[in-house]
Amino acid sequence: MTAMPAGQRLRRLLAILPWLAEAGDVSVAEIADRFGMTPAQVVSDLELAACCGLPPYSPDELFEIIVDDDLVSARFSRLFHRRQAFSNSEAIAVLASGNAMLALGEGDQLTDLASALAKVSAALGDVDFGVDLGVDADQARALNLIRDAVDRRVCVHIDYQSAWRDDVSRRVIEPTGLTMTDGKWYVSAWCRSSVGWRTFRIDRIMNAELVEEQQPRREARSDTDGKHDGSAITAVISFPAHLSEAISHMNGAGILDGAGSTRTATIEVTNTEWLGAMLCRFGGEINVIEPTEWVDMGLQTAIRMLARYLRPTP
Amino acid sequence: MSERLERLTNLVALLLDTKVPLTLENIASELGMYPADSENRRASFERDKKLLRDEGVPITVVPMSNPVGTSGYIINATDFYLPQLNLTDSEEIALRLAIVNLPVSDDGSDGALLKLGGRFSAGQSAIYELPVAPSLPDVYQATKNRSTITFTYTDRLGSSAKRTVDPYGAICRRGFWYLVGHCRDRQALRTFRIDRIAERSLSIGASNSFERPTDFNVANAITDDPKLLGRGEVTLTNVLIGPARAWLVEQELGSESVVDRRSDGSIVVSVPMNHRPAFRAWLFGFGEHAEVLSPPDLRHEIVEWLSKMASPNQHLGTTQ
Repeated sequence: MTAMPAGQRLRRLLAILPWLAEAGDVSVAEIADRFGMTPAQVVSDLELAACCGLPPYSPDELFEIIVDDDLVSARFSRLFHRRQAFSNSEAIAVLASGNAMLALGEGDQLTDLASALAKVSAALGDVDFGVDLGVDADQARALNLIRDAVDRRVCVHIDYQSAWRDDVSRRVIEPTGLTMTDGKWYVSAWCRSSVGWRTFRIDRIMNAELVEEQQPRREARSDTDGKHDGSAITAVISFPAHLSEAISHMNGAGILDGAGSTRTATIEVTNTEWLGAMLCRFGGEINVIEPTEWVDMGLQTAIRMLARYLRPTP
Repeated sequence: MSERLERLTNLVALLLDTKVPLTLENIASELGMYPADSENRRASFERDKKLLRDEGVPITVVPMSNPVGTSGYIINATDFYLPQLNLTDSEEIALRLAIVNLPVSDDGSDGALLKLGGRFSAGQSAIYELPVAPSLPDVYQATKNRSTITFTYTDRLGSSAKRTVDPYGAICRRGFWYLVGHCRDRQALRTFRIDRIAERSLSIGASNSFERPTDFNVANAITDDPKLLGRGEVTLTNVLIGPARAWLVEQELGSESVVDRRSDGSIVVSVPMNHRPAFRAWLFGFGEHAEVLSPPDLRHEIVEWLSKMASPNQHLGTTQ
């Protein structure tokens, strides 16, 4: 057992005591589970708390905590009978997570959450801290369905509008994780149609249905965080200093040379159309150094787009 | 280590239970757990006080008249305890689930979970971690107390200035927290990205220094459309979208944006815009499947922009 700093132990103790006061008799195992401790830590901290109380620290002034075999019972009359106030960060967490979940929640859980948040607002004060997860009702449904599939490791049948191919494809995928990058939700999955790891954008899934079939074991994706497509290629780019922040938010960005007026970084590119669009968007300020076959990607994309404007009107 | 935990627990209990502020001498004699010599005793107590404050235990310091010049210490129950939330079991579970599924990426979520009855034993994982910003807790405090705040802000063009703002609310969107409030310098509603507030530059004024408009709602107060993040007048553009991208664009903008449907499956959408970089980013994302039709000066600008991208040695457009 590693020794925990006294502050951390105190914080946990101040959370456990009022919870015990409400819960009555509970098992050591449940306390350990809820508060992230080993049973031995629970016993040792509660035995210590049983020696605490008020002056003159006579038996009737000590906290009444009895640890008997695996069962804990506690009585508190006037101290630590109520929970400790939230810090600002904790209050933000309650509000932000609660409000965010309102966009994703379903059914009864949503009703309970809404009334819980109303009670929190009534008690803590009316603070308008919202979260916009960037999903509409259809996307929330797809997101929940896929999340369920991820948790239970089952498959999903999707109709997917590819951004870079001109059709809607029907696929069976084995989703392994959800991520949000730059306001868009993505699902990382093994795609049975493509026979490989792919990343799909939730807002391009036109229809999703669960397929109650267990996902087979697959070799893990090459990238550990699962954020990017398995087929991502690392490109080296150079850019002027004022674009550093914009670059740092790109997928898999890693700064190679972050000093001077011209800088270099690596980014992960899952498709060349995205790269071409990005290069055009920055008006030639970003250059691709590697791989060499992408050096003129911005130029080629610009020429393709220009052709649209320069063709004779039909 | 255990001795210190025992002393800290007894200290909190003592200061919470006392009706009058206690001096360090009172505390030491009641607890009997501080060093006898006064210098060590003071140092040891100050370390405990700092630790308690770091753990969110609000110790109030009161100047004492007897003896003059000493301080008294007390913990006010109203500061220490959470107001009664009166949550039902299922409400509490819903709240805890929300925090586990969509936690904020600092220790605020862990702390809140502890105080709401701990974690779930198994089977629950985070879908997404909400971001944080160093000034967010101060912004929360000021928003809650209706306190005017002053801070140094670096705008998106990189210039820094002092701002004085009545904070009305904050919203987390696209991975960033935004503060929305009445900017006293500009005398208008303004949005600030909280991570662009210079660290430790924020100062919080007196409570109740402004009234938030009753109809204010942070989600409606700022646009979530980057194409409308500019300051200038909004231009309505018409953009032709090829059949291969028509579904995506119609889904994104809504059918009410479609002003023309062509026989080949193309659509013309009306797109409001006052921020050119975001508009270009959006437009170029569709590659050769999107074309600005009007207004003519914007179409011309896009052609210029793309021509600049292409090398002067290249022969543009094979279909000329």
